[in-house]
Amino acid sequence: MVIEPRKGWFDLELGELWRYRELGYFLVWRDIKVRFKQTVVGALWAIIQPVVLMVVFTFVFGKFGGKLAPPPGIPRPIFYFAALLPWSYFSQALLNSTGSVVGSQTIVTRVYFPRLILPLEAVFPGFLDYIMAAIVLIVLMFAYHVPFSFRLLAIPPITLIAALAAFGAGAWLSGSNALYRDIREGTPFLVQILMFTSPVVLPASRLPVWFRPIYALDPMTGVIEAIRWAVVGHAAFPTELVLISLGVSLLLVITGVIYFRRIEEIIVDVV
Amino acid sequence: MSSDDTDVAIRVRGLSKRYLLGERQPYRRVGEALSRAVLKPFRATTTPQGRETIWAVKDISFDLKQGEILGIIGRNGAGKSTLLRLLSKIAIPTAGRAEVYGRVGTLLEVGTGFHPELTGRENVFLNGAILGMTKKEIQSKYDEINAFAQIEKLMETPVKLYSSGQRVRLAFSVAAHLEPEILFIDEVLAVGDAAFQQKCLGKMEEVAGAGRTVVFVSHTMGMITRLCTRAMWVDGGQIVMDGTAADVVEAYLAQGYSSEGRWVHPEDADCGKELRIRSIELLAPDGAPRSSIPFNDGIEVRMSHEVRTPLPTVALTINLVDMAGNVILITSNLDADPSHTSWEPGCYTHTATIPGGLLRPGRYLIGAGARIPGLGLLDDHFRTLSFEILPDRSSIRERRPGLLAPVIPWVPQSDHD
Repeated sequence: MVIEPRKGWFDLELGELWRYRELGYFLVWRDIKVRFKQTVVGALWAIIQPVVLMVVFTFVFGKFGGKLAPPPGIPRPIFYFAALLPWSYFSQALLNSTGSVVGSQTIVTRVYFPRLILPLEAVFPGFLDYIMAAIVLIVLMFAYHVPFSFRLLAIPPITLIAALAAFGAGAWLSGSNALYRDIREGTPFLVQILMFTSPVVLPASRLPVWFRPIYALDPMTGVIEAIRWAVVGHAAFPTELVLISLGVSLLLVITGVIYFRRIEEIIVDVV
Repeated sequence: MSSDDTDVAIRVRGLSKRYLLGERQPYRRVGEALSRAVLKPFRATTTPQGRETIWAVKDISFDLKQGEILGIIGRNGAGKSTLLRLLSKIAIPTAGRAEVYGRVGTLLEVGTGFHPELTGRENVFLNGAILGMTKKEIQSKYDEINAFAQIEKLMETPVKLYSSGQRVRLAFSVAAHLEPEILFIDEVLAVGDAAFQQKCLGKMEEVAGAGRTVVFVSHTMGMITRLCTRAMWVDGGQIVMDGTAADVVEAYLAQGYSSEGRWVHPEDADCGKELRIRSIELLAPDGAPRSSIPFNDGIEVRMSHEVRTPLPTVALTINLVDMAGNVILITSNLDADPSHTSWEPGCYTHTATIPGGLLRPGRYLIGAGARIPGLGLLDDHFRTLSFEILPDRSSIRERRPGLLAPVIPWVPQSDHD
């Protein structure tokens, strides 16, 4: 092992990240265990949030939304829940990832490991909640007689885009959070705002065509539109939106990883 | 870099670490710094302009052979811990280079990453993984770890319900079974009860005996002389002295201590916010300070301290250390009066007299400290005053070996009744 100052921007040591994957598994396992031990309703929290939001949205926007009401012919609960499924995952993963470095400061200052594991690991425990919420979606689809189709197979790969976006943004925010604690105060607010500006409430089809690619710069736009398509199939697959969102997610990941590595030195001294 | 000698475990060349003092402020506000937060990392982080910097470690070079046990000593803030953090890769150096050959284990504090909600068993796995063990290794050593910790019954209980002693046992057991080729330790042995500490020391000696390389940072000179083959005295981030443990420890202990029988806290020192020890004096019967004490005289220690904010129970201690670093005794105001439970702001003076005829002639160091039991240190001046017990020709006790030379009553009994 050689210890020396970092050289250059692209001294990313990604191979090392792979060598430490077992620690990553353990941290994911810890997060899941702890969550289920600390909360009384445990697993139920994974579904309470999206279900409650679905009920609220169905009532508020579905009934009084006017222009915001979902397109006719799609059961409203399904319309909203199909969007809240990836959204809940993304918001939780992003918040976890943002808090990951500060939350692990005792480890960070006492043991060496590639710190990038922290914001990366933090996007995995949410998959468990995702699966539970997906079961609720299946139940809803039965209840509203929405037919199951092969389109549903697109959900896992599309979800991966949400995970990439959460990790990329998490790499940016978790490192900054260690230096500037305002990030922790600001992120929940940001996430809240993003929900209302995302297609959870405002589907891209309601926006002018020229604006849609700009809309897709929010990586969750492509994800939500694609998952709605997979569940209800009301229109063509939103290829353009998905590609833009995927591109933005990848860009977030690449710049986030570089940024994180650049400030890692300061994080360890400061956190 | 030459690699002629294959038995080198650690090779350090010009290793340096600079901290920006501004950077040490825990965190700033976004308003001041949002643009910098984003832009700064993309500027060169190694050219701080117009900011105060401090070299915590500066241009340190040394080679450590496999199987050597190196003790690093020095006062607080000398750079010992930073050096260890650099060698274990936790902190990233500003300049220089270190090569470390072999699997590294780091023990900067036991129980790193313990989660209170998880059970003992779960924490063994988590902590093991954090310390760098694979799942297989932990599984194969689990029974040993369990037996070493001696808390089998609690392994399925959440760690939050453990006593601090039980936590330390479990944590050290995991760490002790890490079996790295190179082990970095920072003062972890100063925990747990005496019996467990002995056990830990035994484990350390076993590690040392197995030919593994150890770098050990400690304030406990007795431990350094006992465990280490080599010692390095660090001050101001640089090596002051490097040699056999006995030589370095002796030189370290001999320096810089007031030998006028009186020590007064320097005014500019910024330690001791809530409580500050103001002076420590060794008094002659006429009340004047002295540093040479006749063998049979009592050692009268006067300690003054200033309480700056109202405080609960405070343990004031006076400690006595010999030149090999062995702690001879520690006495506390709470020993005789455990009921003293509150302190108002003000200045206080206490006197404690260590009985005469107890210590063998020779040099000793005395110091004082104050802590809130269970919460932490308020002020610490360990090893502050140096003094000498003068030989007494008329006593034969002083010439015998042994740390202490007290008179112990021998009571004759008749065998003829």
